[in-house]
Amino acid sequence: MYVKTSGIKKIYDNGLTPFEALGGVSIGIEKGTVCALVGASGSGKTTLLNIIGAIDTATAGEVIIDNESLSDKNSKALSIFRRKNLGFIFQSYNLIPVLTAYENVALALFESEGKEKHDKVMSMLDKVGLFDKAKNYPNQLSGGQQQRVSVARALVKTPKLLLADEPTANLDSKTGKQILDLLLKLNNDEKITILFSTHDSRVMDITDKIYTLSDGKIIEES
Amino acid sequence: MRLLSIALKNVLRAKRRAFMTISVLSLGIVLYILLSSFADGFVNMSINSLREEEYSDIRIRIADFDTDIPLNEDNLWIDPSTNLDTGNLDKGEILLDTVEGITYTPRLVIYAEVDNYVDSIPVSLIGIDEIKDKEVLLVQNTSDEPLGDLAWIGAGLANDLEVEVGDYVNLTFRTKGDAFVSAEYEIGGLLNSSNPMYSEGGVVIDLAELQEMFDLDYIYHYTIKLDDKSKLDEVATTLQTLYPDQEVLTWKDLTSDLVSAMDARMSAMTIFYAIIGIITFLGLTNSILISVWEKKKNTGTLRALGFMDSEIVKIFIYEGLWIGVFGVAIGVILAIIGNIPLSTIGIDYSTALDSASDKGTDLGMYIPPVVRSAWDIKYFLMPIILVPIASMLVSYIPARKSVRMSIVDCIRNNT
Repeated sequence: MYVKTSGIKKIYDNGLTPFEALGGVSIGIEKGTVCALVGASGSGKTTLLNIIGAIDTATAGEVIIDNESLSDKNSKALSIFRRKNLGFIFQSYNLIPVLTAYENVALALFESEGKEKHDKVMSMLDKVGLFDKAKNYPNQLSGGQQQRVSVARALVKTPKLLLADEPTANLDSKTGKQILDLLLKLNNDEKITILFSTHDSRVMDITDKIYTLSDGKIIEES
Repeated sequence: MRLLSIALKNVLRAKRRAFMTISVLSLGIVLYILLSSFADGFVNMSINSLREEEYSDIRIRIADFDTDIPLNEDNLWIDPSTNLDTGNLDKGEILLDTVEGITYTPRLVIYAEVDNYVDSIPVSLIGIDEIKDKEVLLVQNTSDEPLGDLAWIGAGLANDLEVEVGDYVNLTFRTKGDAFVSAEYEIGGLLNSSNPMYSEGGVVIDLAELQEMFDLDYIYHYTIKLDDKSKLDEVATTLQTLYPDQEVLTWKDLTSDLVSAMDARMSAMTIFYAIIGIITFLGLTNSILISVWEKKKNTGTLRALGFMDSEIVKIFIYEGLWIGVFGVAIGVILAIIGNIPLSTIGIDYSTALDSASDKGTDLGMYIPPVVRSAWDIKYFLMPIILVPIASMLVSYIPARKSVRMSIVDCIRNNT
């Protein structure tokens, strides 16, 4: 199993009434597969995605990715783990507004420099169909183009695990389909493991496995 | 390098805020440089003026000179020029003549009263050897006529007494035998000096005449001008050897009290600088804090991508650095532009101070009528070095806040 969570609990305690966002979630994802976390809003799918992506911490339980336990790592080690292994696609793209499309994608390349870096970035922008938009700033791009930059940024370093939080939620159906086709192609070409958080039926159609959450618990696995 | 680049783009993106912060910073730097340069110019001009008109390079006077009562007759020194018998040769002017590269002049200064037959004003009555004096000191008077048996009186003093060249004034002073001597003098010229000692309270007459009236063969001091200013200490040492019983003072010694007094007054400006600094850097801290707040989402994204906390903190510290660099660049350029007219044209205080003379005033220290700022590289280098460093330091605390929030909270942020 490439990604494995065991009894993940997440309790938010604002000092008044503790709220259990995840109530002991255990899932497993095989390498190179496309999986999805689905469920209604507030079901805990994004929280689980964030915990697996090491940008949030579980109150209890363990996440193991590629045989490495995240709970053993400190903040610095988690940063290094994220930069080496994980790619993120956010619902609202989260591009850095002061950087061009090229620079946003290049942000994710920590190890490369010079021509190698340039070639990788341009190649990835080419793959997402934005070769000629490299110098555009996010506000000069459409929503779909921005999400494609976000995809390019997530994939340029060829992550072992791609985490996509509602990647099509803010896109029209045509653009959403383009993004999904692109991710599916990259999954086929690069054998990248992809975990979606979504309630988009088009996403569910392309996944190998779906975990359905409700009130912080897995209620269905298909 | 890319952190610096991101920081620069962040600064340039928030144009209005960056403009405000950089403007305040630049203004602070301009004020610091110009005020410091002006203060330096003020001190330099005061000292130069005193050197030109009063102290020259070196002064020899009685060893136990009472500086609290400068015109006390105990401060008088037997005039060697009139006592050149063999017993006094070791103190004679003949010794001064053995020193190469100097020009000297003797002076006698006593208390006196000057009156226009109606009002009386206390003055310093200065006896000079006109020929020698002109070789050493620059005492400007309005007439080209030789001093002879006339008197030159301060322009301000003449104004107060409502007299002018050609009028007569009466001088009264006490001799060594406690007898009062009174003499009438025709005004031969007005002392249009920049030194208030002359312009406001000085009357100059011939030294020999004063000695005769005062019934003394004394002088007050020798003032010495060097041909080669770089030999100041060397000549002072030589003179001290020649005159072991007298006090040999360089212009630096003579102006040290003035410099200390001015330094003390100027140090009050430190408080002003501190206020400027606090306001400026509070503004910068606030600007970085706003930046941290505005960029929460970006910060969260960068951290999710794998940027380390230290790198995120550096981005905001570099924002402070860029603001500091821009601020200091603009500030120094503006200060250079501003200091050009201040150092050439200067600021004319004479009207503002309402001095009787248009040649300066003392107000407890000598203030030239037109003050020109100085150029001192240290006032430019200090902000160039310190401001960027200080900018980074004051950015650190708000920058730390950027990584105190959870990544998820940052990413969710929509501000």
